[in-house]
Amino acid sequence: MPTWTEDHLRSAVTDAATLKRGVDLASPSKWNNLGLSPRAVWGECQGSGTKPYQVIIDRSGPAFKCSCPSRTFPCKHGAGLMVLAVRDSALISEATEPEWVNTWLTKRDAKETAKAEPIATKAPADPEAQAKREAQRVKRMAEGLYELERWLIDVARTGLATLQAQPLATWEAQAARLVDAQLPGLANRLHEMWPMRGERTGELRDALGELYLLVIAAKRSPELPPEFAAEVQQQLGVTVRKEDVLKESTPVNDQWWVLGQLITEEDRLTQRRTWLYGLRGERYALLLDHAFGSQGFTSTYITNAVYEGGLHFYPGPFPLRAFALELHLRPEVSPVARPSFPPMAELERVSEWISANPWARSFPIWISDVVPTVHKDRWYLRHASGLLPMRCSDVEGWSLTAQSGGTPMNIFGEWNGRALLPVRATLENAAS
Amino acid sequence: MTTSIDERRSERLSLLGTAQANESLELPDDLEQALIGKDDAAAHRLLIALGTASLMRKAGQLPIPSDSFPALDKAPDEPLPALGPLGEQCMQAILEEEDGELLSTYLDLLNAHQRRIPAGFIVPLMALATNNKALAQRVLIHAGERGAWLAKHHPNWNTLLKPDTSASDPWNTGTPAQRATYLVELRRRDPAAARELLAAGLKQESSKELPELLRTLHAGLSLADAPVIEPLLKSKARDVRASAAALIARIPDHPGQATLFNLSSARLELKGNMILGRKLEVSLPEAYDPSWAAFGIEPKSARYPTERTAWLGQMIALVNPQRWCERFDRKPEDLVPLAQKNEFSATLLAAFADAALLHEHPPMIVALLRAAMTTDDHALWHQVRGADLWAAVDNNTAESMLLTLVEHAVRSRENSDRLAWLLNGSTRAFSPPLAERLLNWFEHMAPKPDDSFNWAQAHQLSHALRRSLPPACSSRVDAMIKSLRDTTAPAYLKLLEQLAKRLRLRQRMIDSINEPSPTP
Repeated sequence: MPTWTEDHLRSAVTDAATLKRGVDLASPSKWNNLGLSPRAVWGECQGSGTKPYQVIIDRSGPAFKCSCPSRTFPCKHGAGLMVLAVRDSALISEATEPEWVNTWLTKRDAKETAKAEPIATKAPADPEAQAKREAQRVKRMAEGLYELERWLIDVARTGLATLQAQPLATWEAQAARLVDAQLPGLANRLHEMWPMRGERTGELRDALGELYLLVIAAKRSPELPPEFAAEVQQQLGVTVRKEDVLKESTPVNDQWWVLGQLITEEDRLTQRRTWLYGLRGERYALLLDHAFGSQGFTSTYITNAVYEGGLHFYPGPFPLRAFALELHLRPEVSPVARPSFPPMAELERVSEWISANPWARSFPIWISDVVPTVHKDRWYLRHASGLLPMRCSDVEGWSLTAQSGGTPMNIFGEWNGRALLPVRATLENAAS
Repeated sequence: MTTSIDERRSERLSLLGTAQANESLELPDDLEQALIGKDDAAAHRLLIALGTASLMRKAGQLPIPSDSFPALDKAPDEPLPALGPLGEQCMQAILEEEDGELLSTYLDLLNAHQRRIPAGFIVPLMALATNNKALAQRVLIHAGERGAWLAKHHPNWNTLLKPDTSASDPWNTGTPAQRATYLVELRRRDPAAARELLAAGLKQESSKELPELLRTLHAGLSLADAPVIEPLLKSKARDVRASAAALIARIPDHPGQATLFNLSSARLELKGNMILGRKLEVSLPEAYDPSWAAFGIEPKSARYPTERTAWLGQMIALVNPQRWCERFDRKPEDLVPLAQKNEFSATLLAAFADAALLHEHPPMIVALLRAAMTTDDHALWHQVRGADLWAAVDNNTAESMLLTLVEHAVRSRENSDRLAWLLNGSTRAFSPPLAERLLNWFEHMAPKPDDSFNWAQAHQLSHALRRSLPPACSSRVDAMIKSLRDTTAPAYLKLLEQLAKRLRLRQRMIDSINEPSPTP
């Protein structure tokens, strides 16, 4: 039986509504012909129609397949089968793969192999039209940058007190203009600044200053070294095509340990940030995925599992963001390395990263021997050498405190220059 | 030449704005170069200063001194083992179902087997118990040392496990419940001292708390208690008078009982003969006699239909039903039908029910319950305080009555609402024979897709089955689902699926209790 746990289930089925429907479906009376092989788990689920849905989970992902018409991925049937596999594993015993399971797995293998092949870059259908579109885009971006710079100058002239009195609509209008100018990254920064008014004026001041520096850098992009220019373009929100990354980069092969995932949702768009750590190369990687509405993510990464394969890193002076063409689960590999350091050592590393890439907004750090603690409604990580502020809700803070019980933990998270957003926490004496 | 950025000045400038401020910033020379030829140079200068200062601060960030505030102490070691992976799965399922009742059941199991909640579940379970203080307390208690440690530090939980400050002097500083508990304990050890304590404070006690304190006299009630109770029949508070009257009616050999029985027996007689049939004959009092107040009989009572029936009803309600059985030489199961046939049946049945509960007379309780259960007359159920009677019967009697009702329900669908209600209100685990018959009934009543159906009853019944059916019945339910799949309304199948799911979870809860604890 696959050694999937509740954590695996939650990593694989990230949509809470789908998971709930899956839990409701995880009843033996709903399923027939359940089975498992070294490659897959499968079963037939009785839906509302006369013909049962054929459901398969490829164990190498896990990857889901279901014959139902749902566009949600994984669908409730896939989720239900995984819930059964986790919670009622005795119901699923080893069996020979039926024809339909074998067919799908073979097709999937072929697809995966094809994916790993270099993507042939298609020549544009109409190079002239494309050049024209590109020129228009560059012009719109330049106008947007000019307008944002004027707005920032106006803010500096009239002062933060005036800015903070402005209604949300003013900020939103400015952000909307940036979206129209194809600068969504800058629009997001404005959205993030709105809640900083009032008590977080210091942060707002910093954010405005850094935004200005980014605008100036973007305007002078052609003068920058290529990796800096690429980083600035990404910060503006310009999409870098995977084909272009593939052309420019070679894959970094490693055994990638999934440290944890951060899932956020805004306006029905779900963002998943998956942090990986290369066991051989000892480097971090960030996989960024998006899913709209109830649709799930096209790939699944199980927290704490190890995957083998190559990652392609997006260009930049300190590349972190990457994508994978093919990663295979390696259940037999258990990570033993715990690259955590005292806070001071990690902050020194952050300092070096900022020198290398002043545009980066968050840094992966992994600190050792810290105890989560609260003081005057603010959360900190206490180390013998000092305290680091933490960005977390009360529920998250108290959950960490409950797990720690005052004993030191190793905590991995995203450091934004002011505070740490925890992604993964383990007790000092835990296995990993 | 400037080599650094004046952060304080840039902060002041940023608040006021460069247009209004009377001061200006200086930047290091290399940064000043970028401003040559710019309009609004002061604003540009400020923004460069803010951005640069922010980056420098991020790059030079140091930890905050660790002595800024005291460190947390360490949670004590745990004497009890935490639940293992299966237990964690069960906890997760309980959180998914947001079911406080199920959590409570699981905590009972943890308590019985000396296991504790894993630390990672304390906070989510406390969130589930947010609106249920008693459950929240239990979560913290069953979270072991970690729970107590967290409660000590959490601002909203630190009152939940605070030691009872009234422990040293519960009688003077405790809550009403604590005072009653203290009195019960004292009465068990030293009845005279308990009586004395109660009597000394009677005048100061509030009429709200007094009935609860008087209830402590139920155990070991004797003639010695009468002097404490009798003055309370003149209390201004109706509840106090009623509590006192009920106690006096139960004191063995209290002279008032004989008087009361004589008073009421003159107004309730068994008449007729073998040929014409027996019947109860009632003669209602013509007027209220103020001397009746000494027995706790009120001039008015809303429990009875009229003023005159209320006087008689209250008299009968205080008399031990055994006296009627002996006087008429009839068993309760014979007396109840006679009362039902009487023109004053509402009065007689209500009074018999009150008396049966007051004097804890099982045969009369069962006779009244049988009468109320075998009819759909909701008024009768309320008259005889069916819910109170049901709560007073012992497990074996309840089981046997339920079996009879299930048989009846399988034969005809009459009274099944009442049965569903009884099952739902019962906290007793169903025995295997009862479980089997209930499942047969559930299968028997399965509606076809287009049938009109009593869904409220089905939901009530399924709720009761989810809670009290033995978990081993899950495979039987799965088989039912398969056999009913093509013929039954989908909503009914869903009820069955929920039932099977709950039974499996309850089985896992039981299995998890003996699972080894994970190594720390």
